[in-house]
Amino acid sequence: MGVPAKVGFYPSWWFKNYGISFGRDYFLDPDYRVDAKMRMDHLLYERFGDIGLGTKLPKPEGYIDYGMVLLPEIFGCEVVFADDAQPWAVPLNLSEEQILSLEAPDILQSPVMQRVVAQLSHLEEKYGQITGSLNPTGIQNLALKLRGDELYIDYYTNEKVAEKVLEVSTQTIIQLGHFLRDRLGILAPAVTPMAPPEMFIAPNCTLAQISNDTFEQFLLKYENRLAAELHPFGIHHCGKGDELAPGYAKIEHLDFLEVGPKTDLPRLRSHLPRVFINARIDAVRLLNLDQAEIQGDVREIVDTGGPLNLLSMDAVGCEFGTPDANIRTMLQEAAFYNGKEASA
Amino acid sequence: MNVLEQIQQGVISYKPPAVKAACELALSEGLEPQRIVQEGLIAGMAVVGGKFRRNEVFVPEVMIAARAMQAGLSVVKPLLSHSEVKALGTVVIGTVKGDMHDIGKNLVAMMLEGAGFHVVDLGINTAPLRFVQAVQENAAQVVGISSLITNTLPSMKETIQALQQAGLRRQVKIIVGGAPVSQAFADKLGADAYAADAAAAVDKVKEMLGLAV
Repeated sequence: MGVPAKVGFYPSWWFKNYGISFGRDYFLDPDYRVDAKMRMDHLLYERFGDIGLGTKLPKPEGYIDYGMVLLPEIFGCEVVFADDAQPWAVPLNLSEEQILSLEAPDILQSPVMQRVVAQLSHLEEKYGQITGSLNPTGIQNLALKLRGDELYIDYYTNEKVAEKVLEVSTQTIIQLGHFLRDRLGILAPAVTPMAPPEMFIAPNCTLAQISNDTFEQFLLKYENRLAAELHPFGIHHCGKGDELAPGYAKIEHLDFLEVGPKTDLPRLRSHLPRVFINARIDAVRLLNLDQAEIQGDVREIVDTGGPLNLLSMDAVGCEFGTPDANIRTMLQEAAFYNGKEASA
Repeated sequence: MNVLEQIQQGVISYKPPAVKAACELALSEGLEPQRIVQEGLIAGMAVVGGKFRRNEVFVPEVMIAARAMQAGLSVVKPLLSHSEVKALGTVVIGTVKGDMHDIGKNLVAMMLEGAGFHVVDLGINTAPLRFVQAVQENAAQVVGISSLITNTLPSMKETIQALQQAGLRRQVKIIVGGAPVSQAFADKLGADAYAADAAAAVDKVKEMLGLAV
């Protein structure tokens, strides 16, 4: 019982501190990635082993990672790689006609997916069990990659197009979800380290940009389809995540919700009393604030996000320049509350 | 409801065709084009901006309201005399180098246009020198720099340095924004202003130029 807490580091932290590149090779060359993962595990141990991070003598493991670009690339999005950032899929900005004639691809027939499957086979042969997973993309996140920002106009002026692109996105995500469950049995780690690995997590980052009314009108039925097909089911938000709490409360099988900084946790909890919540500490605040302020952020999550048996926290995307002391403070403060509750 | 109120209402209720029709009606009734823009289109957009700031409306609503305003402007703009179309000022805006996100920047651009500014939108992944060139080419008074990921925050600093090195820093006011940006970070960068959202950006730009908010 307590408040689990973890930290994660953005590619720039790795690249600028240690020269580990997250460029094309990291995602397309499985042996490069396995080696990089071992180096990262060991470097974390050297730097933060005293607080339980990293591994002293890491062993090679069949680690898969394809950023957040797999499904967009299957649809034809250009992918831009960078040494110090996650890869980015350039939106296709498909026309109304192109969307109306769009069909969900058979992802296993896609050359992009076949290359990923070949990576999985290589990793299994060489290293045994696969670790890591593939990010499945959220419904609206994927729809925006296909239609571009025009999707938001479609919500008001062209419901047929909006529904079509959301439908195609949903069908495609469900295919990938089933593939991941059947082939790997591991889904969540590609989105968040805080959910049970077997859980399907829908990355809903862009839903912070829409109202609850729009969510319920357009997206709720698709989210429910994902949840019905792929539960146990959770949702990830990078940023503020309470606006859609009334709509999320209508999702059957919602087991886990990850929300970012500035989320009104009491409001969220009032709508979702039995959902496990992971609250993210603001990586920018970790970068810029002092230790007392970080303690305050942790305390606020503990005070407002409970019950503690349904709460965790993490700080992912820690940037180059983030003081090590702030990372230690965050984890130690969370551990303090663990102890406090255990003794209560 | 008079025709100016119809235009406002069309923007506020996200109806581009209705706004276009109401602008045509206003012209046929003899209203001055400048008045249609100010008291109809811009007034309507100001209401939407206020709602956005109060979390009463979200990104799609701002986008469709801006689309409605553009529909009205397409009717009115050809009839504005050169002196009447004088913008409140020119703002060069872009997402910094290395950052591919654009929706926040787009919202700010839409809201600034909606408030009567001329906006030069440089798009995403904008190199510091491109900002410099755009300021020089457009005699801009304001530069808006957006960044959505922490990794690209150093690009904000490089952009401001490039403006300094080009001797433009005194000529332009600089406003910064984006999810990882804060007032403290803006102060550290030496920016003139920080805006937490698109509606606040319009107020800050007006403040910096000494215009009534």
